[in-house]
Amino acid sequence: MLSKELVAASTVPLVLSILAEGESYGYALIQRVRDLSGGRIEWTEGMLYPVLHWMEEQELVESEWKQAPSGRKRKYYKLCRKGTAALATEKNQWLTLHETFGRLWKTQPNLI
Amino acid sequence: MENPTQFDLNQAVRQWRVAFSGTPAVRPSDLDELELHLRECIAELQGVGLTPEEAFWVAKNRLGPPEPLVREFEKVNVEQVWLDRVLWMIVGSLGIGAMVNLVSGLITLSTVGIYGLTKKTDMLGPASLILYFTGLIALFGFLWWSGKRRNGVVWQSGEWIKAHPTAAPVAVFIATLLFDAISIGANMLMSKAVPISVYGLLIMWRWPAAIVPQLAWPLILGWLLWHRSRKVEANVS
Repeated sequence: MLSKELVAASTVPLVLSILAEGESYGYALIQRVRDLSGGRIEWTEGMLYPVLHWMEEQELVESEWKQAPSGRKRKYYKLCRKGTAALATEKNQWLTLHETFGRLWKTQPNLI
Repeated sequence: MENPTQFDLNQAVRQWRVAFSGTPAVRPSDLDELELHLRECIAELQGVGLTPEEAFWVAKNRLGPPEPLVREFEKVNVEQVWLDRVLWMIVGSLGIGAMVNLVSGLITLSTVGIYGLTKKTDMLGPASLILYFTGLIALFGFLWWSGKRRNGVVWQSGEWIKAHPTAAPVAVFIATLLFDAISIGANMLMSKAVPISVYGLLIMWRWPAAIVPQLAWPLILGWLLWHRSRKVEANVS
């Protein structure tokens, strides 16, 4: 439903925002985004992983293999200091856009 | 067609994994993560009533085909890909050098053998040269022919090397040393086994043998690049 460009631009801030709530793993991140957007944002599932890899290289997140309660091993990601800073920057940028569109389209931005 | 009730999920996942694993850009830990994702998806689908086989196919489709994913990993993992390429470049050039040494060593040994048996020196020079070129053509011809076949020696060696990332460099190193030793040993033997005049004669005859491969390599490289660019054109059009 979202254009390819918007999906690409929003993946990192979405992941950062979700991880700000606590650590998580790939599959759960995709589920969370689907639930939060009411199914309107559907990521091509495999594509999240190169992004996570990139984020780890940029030291925005760090990963750890942990045993899940189900017995399965999962790679959990959590936010790093640089990630928190990056999240603040992204928030700024997106809210700026959001307010600008709000004024143009005369709709009240739904401030979180 | 297999009996549907005998669908082996682990086997299917293993085959799926192979499709994604042909490239250095996707590390084993990335593959593990992808596999885990696949299995979680399968478990969820089975939870809503799909059979294991149905769940596998749906999950596989959701993850998508390997190509776009591998390309994304390659973009992110540029250094890994380069390291891998440099490695294969070095292995290739060392390997070729080692194999030429092997041929050279064997030809030298056979030349010594011929002299030992016949004690004739007049045709020894040309014979040695002809044997050398025949040996090189035979070696590279075999490598070319074998490399094109799925289960040929070249393919199997490549697969073995990929499957044994620690043993393989050691094996290649030892093989290279061994082939070099054969070549050096053969030359030493030759210097001891034949009279000095014959030795000098053989060395003179072997000069073209050293120079021609050096000239051949740029030609071969040029041909390969040209052939490859033609194939790329064909694919694009």
